[in-house]
Amino acid sequence: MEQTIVNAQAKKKGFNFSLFLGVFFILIVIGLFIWSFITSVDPTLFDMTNRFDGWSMAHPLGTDQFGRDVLTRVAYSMRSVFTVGVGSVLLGLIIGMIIGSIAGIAPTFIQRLLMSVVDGLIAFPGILLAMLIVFILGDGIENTVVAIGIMMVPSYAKLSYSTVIENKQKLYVKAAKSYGLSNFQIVVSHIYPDLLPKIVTQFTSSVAGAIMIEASLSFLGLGVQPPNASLGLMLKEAQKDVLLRPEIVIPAGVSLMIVVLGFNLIGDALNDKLLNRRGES
Amino acid sequence: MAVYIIKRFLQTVLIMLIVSLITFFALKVLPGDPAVLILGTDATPDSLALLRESMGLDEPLTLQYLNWIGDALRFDLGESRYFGGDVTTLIGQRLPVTISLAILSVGISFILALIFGTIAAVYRQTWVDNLIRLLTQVFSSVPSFWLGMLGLTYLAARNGWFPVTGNFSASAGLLVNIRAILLPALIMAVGEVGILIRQVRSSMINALRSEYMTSTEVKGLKRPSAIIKYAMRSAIMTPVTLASLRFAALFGGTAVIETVFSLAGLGRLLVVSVEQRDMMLLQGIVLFITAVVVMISFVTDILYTQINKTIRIGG
Repeated sequence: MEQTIVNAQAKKKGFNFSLFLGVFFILIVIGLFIWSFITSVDPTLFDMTNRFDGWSMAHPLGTDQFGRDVLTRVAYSMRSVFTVGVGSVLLGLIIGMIIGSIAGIAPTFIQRLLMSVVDGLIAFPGILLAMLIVFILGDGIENTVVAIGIMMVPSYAKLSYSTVIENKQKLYVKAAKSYGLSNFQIVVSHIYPDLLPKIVTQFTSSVAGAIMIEASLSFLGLGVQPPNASLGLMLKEAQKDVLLRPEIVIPAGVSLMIVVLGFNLIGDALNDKLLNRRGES
Repeated sequence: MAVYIIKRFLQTVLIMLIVSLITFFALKVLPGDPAVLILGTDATPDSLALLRESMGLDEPLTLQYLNWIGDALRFDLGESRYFGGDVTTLIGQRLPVTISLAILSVGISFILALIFGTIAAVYRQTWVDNLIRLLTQVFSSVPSFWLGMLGLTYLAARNGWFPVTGNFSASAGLLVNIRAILLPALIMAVGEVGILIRQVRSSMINALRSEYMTSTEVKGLKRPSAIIKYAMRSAIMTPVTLASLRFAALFGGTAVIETVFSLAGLGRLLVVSVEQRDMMLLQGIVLFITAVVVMISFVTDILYTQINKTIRIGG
């Protein structure tokens, strides 16, 4: 049964260029991430005699306004990308799934209360909520994870809630109930399998969003702080010199775009494959 | 309909209530005494006590909340510690830049989305559609502050096509003001256009499949004019709704672009309030922005159902 579905889709779709491109970009990013653990170059080493160097063998992406090696800084930034991007979404996913699942099986009053709080969180547009949380917790990489994680809660809470509600009406859940399974058991063993592909799809696009928010916060000086490296931070530091030396913003900007685009393209392809919807209907 | 509006209105009030509770109590969990934060650690106990009393910090939290929200309803959001002025006045001064920026960029992206979304729908499942789809992904993935820095360098500083610092003033003419924010608005539009194109595309596909499109063909109407005259008219509603919601989202998302272009808008004010740890200012801006956003989505919702109803009755 599963085999036929896969075959039918393979015939229909053929080669998926977007997915290929997305995977390619993410492989580059993973390569850079690994490189940050291999390289012996210090990303924080100032070398004022070699500022704004062009691309060379010694400095493949040149040096920045303090003479630091740009490639190494980009590679180290990928640590922030993965810590914040994946960490914050995981945090939001776990909290969101718990809230959504509880709301799905709880009595009406608790259900209303929880989902109202979720609606309240959605009402904060853009990075407003993250900025509010940064104000409370302070900046730095861990607090950025928490701030973006909380921003991610509503979408996962809503997704889990609607899936639980939708499945509660189905016959197999009623059957499971008649066998004496508890609500908790039903949600975990019968409803989560249905939720999983939706979560996986959303996860990939959320990571792209989280990385962009991290970069924005760091660019504003409210996210990752030195000596940690972040693409947003690199762009913030380059801002003073950009008018005279615009080339120094190219590596960080292009890398950021590749990361976000990579996750977006994979998310989009997963959306087609796992959920089989393409905004057609 | 009236029942729906009342229900939706009550829901809006509830959301606003929750938002205000989150905003107020989240900031109250802050460690440290706000009075000490304001006056510094070397302040005398007397002056601290005086300030605490004038700020109402000795009162129970619920009373403090009620005072704050009661004042807010009378457009009194307190005093900014950093700027030393009224928070409401400060917001009022920064508002025109941010509103114009959001309107202009949503307008630009909406027009572009209408064109490219329609093309993608008409040539669905061909290379044109795939190319547009890939491009929307690329556009949504470009960091706006990075694009802003490049635009500022190449289009403003080097070419002089746009002013480098766009300062907005009521005394300057409309065109001068538009020119001042055109480049940042264009760059924000790049980030916005992708999501709108997708929306236009999918509602156009639905419209193109509908029966009246077949009947226009039967009547011998040329396809391009049939698309513009009939399909677009019915397909435009959902994207319009989305555009107004995007406006609301942008309203709170201008911090980055205003920072790049050194525009004195609401987003920049927000960043300053966080940097300077100005709690009253932050609270005020957050409450104001979310109130506007929640109101916009309420009005959009009502208008959407209203228009949908008329369409259904009329058609």
